[in-house]
Amino acid sequence: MVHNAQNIDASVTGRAYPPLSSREMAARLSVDTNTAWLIDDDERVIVQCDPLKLQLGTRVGRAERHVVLPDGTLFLTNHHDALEHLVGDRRGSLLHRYERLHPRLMIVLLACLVGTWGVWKYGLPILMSLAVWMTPPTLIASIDKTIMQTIDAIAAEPSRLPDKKKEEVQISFDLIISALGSQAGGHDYKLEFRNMPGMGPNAMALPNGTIVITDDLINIASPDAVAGVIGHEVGHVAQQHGLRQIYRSAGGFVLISLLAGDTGPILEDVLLEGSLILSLSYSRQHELAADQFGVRLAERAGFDPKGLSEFFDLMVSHHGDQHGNWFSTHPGFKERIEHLDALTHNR
Amino acid sequence: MHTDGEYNLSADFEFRGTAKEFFGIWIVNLLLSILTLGIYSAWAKVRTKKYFYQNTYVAGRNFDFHATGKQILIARLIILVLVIASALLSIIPFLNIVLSLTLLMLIPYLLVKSLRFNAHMTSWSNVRFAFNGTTGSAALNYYLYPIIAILTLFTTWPFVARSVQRFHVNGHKFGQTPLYFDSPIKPFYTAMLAAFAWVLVTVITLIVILQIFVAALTIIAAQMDSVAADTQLQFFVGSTFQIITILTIGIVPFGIIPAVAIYQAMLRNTVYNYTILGENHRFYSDVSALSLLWIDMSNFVVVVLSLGLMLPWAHVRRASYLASHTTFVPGGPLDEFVGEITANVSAIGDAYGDIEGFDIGFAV
Repeated sequence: MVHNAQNIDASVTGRAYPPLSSREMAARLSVDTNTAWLIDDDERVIVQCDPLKLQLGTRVGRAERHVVLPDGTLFLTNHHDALEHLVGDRRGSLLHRYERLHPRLMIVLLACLVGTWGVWKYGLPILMSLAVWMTPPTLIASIDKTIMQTIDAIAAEPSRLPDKKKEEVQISFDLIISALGSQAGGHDYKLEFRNMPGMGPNAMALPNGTIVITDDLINIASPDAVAGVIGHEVGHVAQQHGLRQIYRSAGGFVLISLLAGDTGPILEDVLLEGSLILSLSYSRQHELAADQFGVRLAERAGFDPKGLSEFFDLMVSHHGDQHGNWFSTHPGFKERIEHLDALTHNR
Repeated sequence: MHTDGEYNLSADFEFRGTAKEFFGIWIVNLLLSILTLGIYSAWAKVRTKKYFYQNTYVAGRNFDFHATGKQILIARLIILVLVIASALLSIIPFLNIVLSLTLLMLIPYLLVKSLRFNAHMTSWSNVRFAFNGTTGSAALNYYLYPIIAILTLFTTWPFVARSVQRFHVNGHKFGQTPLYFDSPIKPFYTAMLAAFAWVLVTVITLIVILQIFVAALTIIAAQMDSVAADTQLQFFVGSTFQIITILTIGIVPFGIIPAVAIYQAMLRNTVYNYTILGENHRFYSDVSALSLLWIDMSNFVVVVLSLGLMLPWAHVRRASYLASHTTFVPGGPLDEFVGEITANVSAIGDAYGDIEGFDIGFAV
C-alpha cells in the first residue's frame, strides 16, 4: 500500500500510532471526496480508506481530537477547525461550542439552579409516584405481614384491653374507614391491638393498611382522641407515605451521587449526610400532612375534629414537648397543635 | 522523531487542563444531567474522564478514556433496578439478612469487574491497560486479611495495606507489559504510625486547650459568684460534658481527616517509587502530605463558600498538584509497547461503584 503521496493537498498535520502500538510518528490526514489518506513524514501513505469510515472522537476542551481509521490506526491533531472542515463533521464539537467560557454560561448556571429546584420539587415526586405505582401489591401485603411478625417477636405482647373496649375502638375504626370512600385506594385496612410497654401511648401504620395501636394509648386517650390518631395513621396509608419515604431516601441518594459525580475526598460525605437530613424534613412534612388528613377524616366520620390536638396536649402534659428540629423524624407536639389549630380555625 | 537515549531522561507527568475550560464542561454536564433527571450523567462522566485523561501527559503523550455513555447508562440502569428491588425487599425481616450476605459476597466480584472495566477503557500512547486480578484475591485482601489484622489489634495492618497495593498494581498490565510492585514493609509502618501520631497529638492538644479554657472559666465564675458551690459543681460537670462533645466534634476535621491525608500521601509515594513497568521503567512520586492536606482542606472550604461553583477549580487544582509531583523514569524506548485486542468488558461493577461507592483504599 506504500505509494507516493506528494500531490495530495488538503490535509491536517498531527501524530499517529499504528494499531495496538505505542510507536509515535508524525503524520498528516488528507481527505478528498472518495478517499482519505494517512501520510507519514516521508510522504508515504500509511493507510488509505473511505472517508465515511473515519471514526471521529468527540471534542473535549483543547485536548487533541482523535480519529480512528478502519484498521485501528489512531490519528491525533490539535488543528480542530481544519479537521472538521476537512471531514465535514461538526456534530462532534457541538457540545464543545456551548462549553466555551462565554457570558452564555451564566444562563446555563441559572438554568442549573432552576432545574435543581424543579427536580427537587416536581421531578422526584413524579419519579416516586411512578415507583409506588409500579410496586406490586403482593409485595406490599407481605411487607405488612412480616413486619407484624417481627413486632410480635421482638417488641409486643398480646393486648390486655377488655373485649368491650376493643369493640368500641373497632367500631370507631370501621366508621373512619367507611368515611374514607374513594380515598381508600385498594389498601387492606386492619386494626391490631398490642401491649407495647416500651413504646408508651403510640400508634403506627404499615404500608398496606395495618394499623397498630398500643394499649397505653387507648387507656389514656378519649374516644375522639383515639379517632384522631386513627385518622392520622390512615392518612399515612392512604397517601402512601411509607413507600414514598423508602423511595425518596433511595432516590435522593442516587440522584445526588449521580449529579454531583466525583466531588473529592471530604465533600462527598458531607453531601450524603445533607441528603439524609433533607429526607428527614420530608418525613416531618408527612406527619403534618397526615395530621391534616386525619382530622378531616375523623370529622367526616362524626368525631370531634379537636380530638387529635387534644391527644397532643395530653402528650405534652405527660412527656413535655419534644422539640422538633432538623434531625428529627417528627415535628414537635406544640408545632403540630398549632398546625391543627390553624386548620380548624380556618373554617 | 526520537533520538537514541532520549528515553533515559525522566518525564514528568503534566496536567494541561485549566479550571476555566473545565468549568464550561462541568456546568453544561450538570445542566444536561438535571434536565434528563440524571440520565445524561453517564455521558457527563465519560466527558469529565476524557477531559482529565486527555489532558494528562507523560513524555508528550496523553492518556485517553474510551468508555461510551450508553454502556455506562445500561449498567447503571441494571444496578439501579437491583438496588431498588433490594431496598424494598430489605424491609422484610430475615430476607434483609440474606440480601446483605449476598451483597457482601458480590462486592469483591463487582470490584474486580470495575477495575477491569476502567483498565480496559484507559489508554496511554494508544496502548490500553488491562486488569487480571481475581475475585478470590479481592476477597482475601478486603475481607480475610483485614479480619486477621483486627485480631492482632491492627498491629499487622501495614501488611494488609501492602497486600492491597500488590493486588491492584500487580493485577494491572499496560498492553502486554506487566506492572510490578513490591516493597519492604517499613514505609507502610511509617505511614500508619505517622497517621496515628497525628491523631494522638491532636487529641492531646485539644484536651490541653479545653482544660485551660475550662480552668479559666471556673476561676472567673468563682470570682463572680461565690455563693453557691453547688452551681460551680454543676458548671464543672456541664463543662466536662462539653469537653467530650467538643473533642468528638473536633477530632474529625483536626485529627482524622489530616491523618488520612498524611497516610494516603505517604502510601502513594511508596507505591509509585517501588513500582516497575516491564523490565525497568520506573516511577517517582514526591507528594507532600501537608501540601495535599492543605489542598484538600482549602478546596473543601472554597467549594462550600462558592456553593459548589468552584468545584471544577478544585478538581483541576488537585489533578495539577498530583501530576506535577509524579515522574516517569523510562528504562527503554517508549515506542515499543504493544497492546492487546480488548475483550468486551462490562460496566456493571463500575456502575455499582458510581451508585454505592467502593472504599478501595488504593493509592491513586
